[in-house]
Amino acid sequence: MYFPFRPQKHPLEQAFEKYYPAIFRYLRLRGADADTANDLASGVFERALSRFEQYDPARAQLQTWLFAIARNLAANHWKTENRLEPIDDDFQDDTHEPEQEIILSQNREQILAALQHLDLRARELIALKFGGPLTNRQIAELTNLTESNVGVILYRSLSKLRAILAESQEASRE
Amino acid sequence: MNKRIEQFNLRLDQLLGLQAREFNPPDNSHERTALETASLIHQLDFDAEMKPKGKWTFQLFHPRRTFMQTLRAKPALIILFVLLALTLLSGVVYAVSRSLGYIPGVGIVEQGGQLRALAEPVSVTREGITLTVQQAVLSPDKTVIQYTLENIPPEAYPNTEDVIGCIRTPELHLPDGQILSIIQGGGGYTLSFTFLPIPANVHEVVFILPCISNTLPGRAPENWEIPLRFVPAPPDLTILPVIELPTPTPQASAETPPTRIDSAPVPFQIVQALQVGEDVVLLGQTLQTAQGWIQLHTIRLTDAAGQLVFTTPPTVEGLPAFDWGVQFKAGPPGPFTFTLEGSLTQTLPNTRAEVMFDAGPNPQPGQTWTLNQPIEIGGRAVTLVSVQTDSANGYSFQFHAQPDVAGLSISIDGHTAVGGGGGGAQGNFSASVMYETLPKGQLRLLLSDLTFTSPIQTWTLIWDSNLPTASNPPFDVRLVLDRVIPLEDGYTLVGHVESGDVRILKASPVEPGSLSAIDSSGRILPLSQAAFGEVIQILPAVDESAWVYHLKTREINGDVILTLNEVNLRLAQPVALTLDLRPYQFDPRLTPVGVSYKTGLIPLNLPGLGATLYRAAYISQGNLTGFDLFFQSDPRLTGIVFEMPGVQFGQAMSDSRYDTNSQSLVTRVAADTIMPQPLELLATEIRLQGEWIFIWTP
Repeated sequence: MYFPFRPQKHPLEQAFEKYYPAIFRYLRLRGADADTANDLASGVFERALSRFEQYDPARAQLQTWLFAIARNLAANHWKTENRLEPIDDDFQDDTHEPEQEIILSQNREQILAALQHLDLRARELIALKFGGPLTNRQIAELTNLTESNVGVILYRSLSKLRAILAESQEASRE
Repeated sequence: MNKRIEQFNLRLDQLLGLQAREFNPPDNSHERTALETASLIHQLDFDAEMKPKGKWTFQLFHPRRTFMQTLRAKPALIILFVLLALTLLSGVVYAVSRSLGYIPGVGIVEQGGQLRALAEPVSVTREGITLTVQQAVLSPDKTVIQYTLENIPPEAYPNTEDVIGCIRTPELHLPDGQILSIIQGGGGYTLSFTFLPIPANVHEVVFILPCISNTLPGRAPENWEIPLRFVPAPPDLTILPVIELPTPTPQASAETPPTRIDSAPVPFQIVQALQVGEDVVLLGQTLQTAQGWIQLHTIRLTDAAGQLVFTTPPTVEGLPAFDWGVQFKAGPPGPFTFTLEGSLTQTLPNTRAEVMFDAGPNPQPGQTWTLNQPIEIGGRAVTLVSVQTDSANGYSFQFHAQPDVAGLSISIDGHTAVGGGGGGAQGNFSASVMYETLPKGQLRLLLSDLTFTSPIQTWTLIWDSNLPTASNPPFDVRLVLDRVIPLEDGYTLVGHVESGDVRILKASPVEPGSLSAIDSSGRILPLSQAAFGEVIQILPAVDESAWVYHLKTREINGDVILTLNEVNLRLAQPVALTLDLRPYQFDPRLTPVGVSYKTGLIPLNLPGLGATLYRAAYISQGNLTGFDLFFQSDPRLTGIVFEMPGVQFGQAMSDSRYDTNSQSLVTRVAADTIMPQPLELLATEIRLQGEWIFIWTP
């Protein structure tokens, strides 16, 4: 004779342990301060809990679903229009020369500040890429871009970020 | 996409661990500089900033301190502890453990001080909505506040997924401006939030609810403030005693007969056992396995007489988080046997396939396309049987595959889904996906994440409340300081470890480093094993069982608290264990090293400690051959020394380690000879971890 088992620990609890740091990281890279990132990341799981019945593992990975909620919460928080438009897929090679000097000594604040100089779409993609980390396909699902768009934007954004960091390093030397 | 960009993204994924292959730096300068920038972002560390709020505050972010860590952090506690220890040394023995009580409706609380309660329920009504703080219980370890909200209009809540309501949680403001943090909380009609403890001298606080959870701005009153007043808990407050019971679980798979295996042992563990009033509650967790995750289907618990004795989940409120748990009336004889049935679910990473589907220019609700299209994904054959539009701007896909296939993920390239569903069994499953507007025309279906479910497996766990508790270490082991010899730079400390248990022949510290010292201010004192020359000078005064340490300081603030963390105990009666692998065609001359055998359950009857052999692996080490013996055992047991009385050898060894993969104690027995079968072993010595303390006043 067997009794039906009803687990008491919510499945999101395990997800919390696994993905809270990733979502927190995403929000910090996206521009939130630590307190706001904690508020929003906690809110992601509050919301996920209240909507958990709507989650379908056959349709989306839990990580992707949680990041979709995180994006909504972040957008709502900043009250910013963050619709991402696809860009031209025909990638043209960068014309500027990359900085030759290796930047190894950037501190965290400089990097976070430099990220804020990128446009919203670039910042969003970098935050998703390095926060999750998410694959380009997962990011494409979330942002309505094609996978190759995501790859191109990431490459360009990191190159641009590199230039911003070099400028900031140069300025701090002066 | 440009080839270079493609290459860059591949390397970026390698850098981030999204691609299994090792990261190879590029030789192209553009790509290299972009990846260096990526590496800078990847290395940003935010761990110290993470402080989850609200109910999402799990132990991950609050690792439990050890007793000694707590002592070091709190000098005042040390003084209390010294007083307690001195009383103990004067001959009065105390059982040092937490005093827990259970308050129905509130949960488990610590009773170390006076409990307080809300003087009276308090209600506030605004715009027709009533907030009532119904109950509060203040204990030394936490503050529990329970409240209700009534008459919230439905229009106060969002009605679409993309709109977010209020996510803020209530706060407790103390008169000095301090805001108490929430430990956990939530609920249904009655909301219950647990905060950090309120200081004993604070009797009034303000409960603040910034907004009602999930309501939209302006749709419901915000910034609720309710003053709360606390009084000593009424004498008739129901508090049931809670006793922490031992959790060691000799355990093993019920699978018989034993077979050669490659898998891990039982993926379940009992983590907490409590007696709450007349009820016993056992809480457990499901362990991760390398093969996937376990889905627990059924659980049952029988007593020693084979009678079912439990309910699940437990009805006691306020329990710590757990994966599974049972509750039963105390009384039936143990040991108790859990039988757990579950299946292993595994999603194959990087399984992808693409299928083209022509929905035509104007698909109609309810329209069905019968396709029977074969697809290969993850090396498996799956058939897309049919596609149907549903009433919510979406498609439902019906699949057929072998019975062990549980499902897959599906999306339509270029379209962002807003919802979905799916399910099925025995290889017949569906996946549906919905959109803002129904995708039309030629659609590229992206299939991924092929998921398998194993047949149902059965495991057993055994629990016996008669085992000794962690707070009451077995074998009456005591740390004793016998002599203190002053030196110019400190002291030579000479002592011994003794056991008042007749089952133990001899006790000694595990060397080196198992002994440490702090003073009353919590400062760690430099303590090391005495050098040979130092020991030689006092040799006539010490016997072979003594420990001799050098305390290299005379700057001591108050008392010295010596702590021993691990002891060797020689058993008065060696315990026999027979390893017989003959039924499994083991031949020490023919069987290759590395072969592992599921031995079935072979209990090792150590006194007062559970240990069950479940696996043996044939090994070699240098010129020695023998076995790694895998035990599920009492967590305090850190080593077993075996002798091999029937084996003639020139050189042999017996050593133990904890294997994190199998979460087992592994003892290696090996010798420079051919291992006979059956192999008779004698456990002569055990190693035990714990905390044994001696206080010395210089």
